[in-house]
Amino acid sequence: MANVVKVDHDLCSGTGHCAEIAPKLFSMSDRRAWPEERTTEQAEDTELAHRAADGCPWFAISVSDSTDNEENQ
Amino acid sequence: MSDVRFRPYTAKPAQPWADLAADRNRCPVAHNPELGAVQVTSYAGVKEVLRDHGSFSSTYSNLWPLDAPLPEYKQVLGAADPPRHTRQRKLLVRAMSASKVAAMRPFSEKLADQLVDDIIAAGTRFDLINSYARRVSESHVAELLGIPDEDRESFSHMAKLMELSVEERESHGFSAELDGIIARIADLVRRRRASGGTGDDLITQLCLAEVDGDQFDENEIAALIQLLAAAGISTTQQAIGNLVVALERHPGQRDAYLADIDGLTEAVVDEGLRYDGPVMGLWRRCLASAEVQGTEVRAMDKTLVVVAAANHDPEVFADPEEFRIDREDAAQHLTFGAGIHLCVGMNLARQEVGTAVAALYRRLPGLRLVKGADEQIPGPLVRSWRVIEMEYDPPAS
Ligand code: HEM
Repeated sequence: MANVVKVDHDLCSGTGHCAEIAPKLFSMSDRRAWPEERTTEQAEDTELAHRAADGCPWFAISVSDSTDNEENQ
Repeated sequence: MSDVRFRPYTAKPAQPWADLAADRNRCPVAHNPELGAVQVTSYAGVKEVLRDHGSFSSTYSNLWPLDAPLPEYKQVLGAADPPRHTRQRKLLVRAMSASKVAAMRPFSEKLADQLVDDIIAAGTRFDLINSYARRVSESHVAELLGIPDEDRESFSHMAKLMELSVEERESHGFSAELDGIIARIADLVRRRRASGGTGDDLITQLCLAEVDGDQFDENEIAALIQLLAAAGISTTQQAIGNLVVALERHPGQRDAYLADIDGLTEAVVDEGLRYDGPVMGLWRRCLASAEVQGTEVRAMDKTLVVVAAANHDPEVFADPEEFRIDREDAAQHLTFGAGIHLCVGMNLARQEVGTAVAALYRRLPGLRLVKGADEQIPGPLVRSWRVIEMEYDPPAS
């Protein structure tokens, strides 16, 4: 199962919490966070992505199952 | 006799850095008898506590070391734990995000210019806090929230009461009056709801917000609005004051800033917040015993994270006692907190402080400190000078 990790750049304020919690999934540039990979293939990554989403003080991260095929803003 | 040197109620020095460094070196997680609490003074320790909201609750207030949790309707934002906190904070992030705040920049710049015009019209000597910094922060909060003109005076008064009350150990000398203010805001909420409000200001949005089809309780919304105004007014005002004092005390750094105000304002703001930010400490209550940097904090211990000490931790910042506007890592400071309660006003605060300080230095030649910046407001919570009086050169005519 693959998951799509997205950062809503209207909300992201570049605090870097996600890159600290999950350095292999997010990087910082231009005062915003960017998902490293479009999808997370492994269960371990999925858990990490959820932890980063929960830890984001701006609620800017969403993690969704790509099979939803849903545009998540 | 304890060896702890940080005594913010009885002997708060204008420059606490040596005491805080001594406490951090001796033991970064230590019992402080004057506080009746555990004090945390290292960067890693402060961050660990702030990120561990499961063990360290905010419901006993983050402003006073209360003995019991606040009544539920007062558990808002900075004084709430999840899931209540999450539900409330979600109402704010969109209105206060970096992009929303950037759109307010013309307002911030125009306001600063108008306030400097007022200073110039009144003569060459002025009170930085009352004639400028306070007006910058109050006007931004009023703009963001959409506070009606007739209520501005009461919000301003409320912020002053909050400022006075954080000097006290127990708080609550003013709690009856503050409760009265929440009741008045609840009135405002009822009026706004009755009129069906269409404005895009934050008060209207909060009044009309729904979760699962239900509006929020009006007392909860009132407490939320009250906290938002209180959190936004004094902090930003003090951040402007502290930064200007830091620049004036470091003429080399000030001159470097004057040579490139546009290019350096962002960096100057963050170094100001790191070097002497308005938040000295924050309270938490340890609910279940926890480890902080390997030291046990027992269940029900009151805990003060000393943000100012974390910002001067040499493990993270080289030569921490120096005010240096060319630091690349200044923005790592913990002056906005960390974790789920990270200041939701951080984008606005940076913009307010930056536009205000830039306008001041751009327009008032020969600006200098003439009096004050020698006495601190007591208590473990804030870094704030009682008086900052300034002067500038009269325009040549
Ligand atoms: C330089 C100025 C400011 C500083 C240094 C500052 C600092 C802080 C800190 C340290 C916290 C975390 C408190 C905790 O963890 O217990 C916080 C939270 C908060 N701040 Fe600020 N603040 C500033 C300006 C503002 C402004 C302008 C606003 C709004 C207009 C604001 C609104 C808030 C709110 C609502 C919270 C609670 C957030 C939550 O618990 O989720 N602050 N602030």
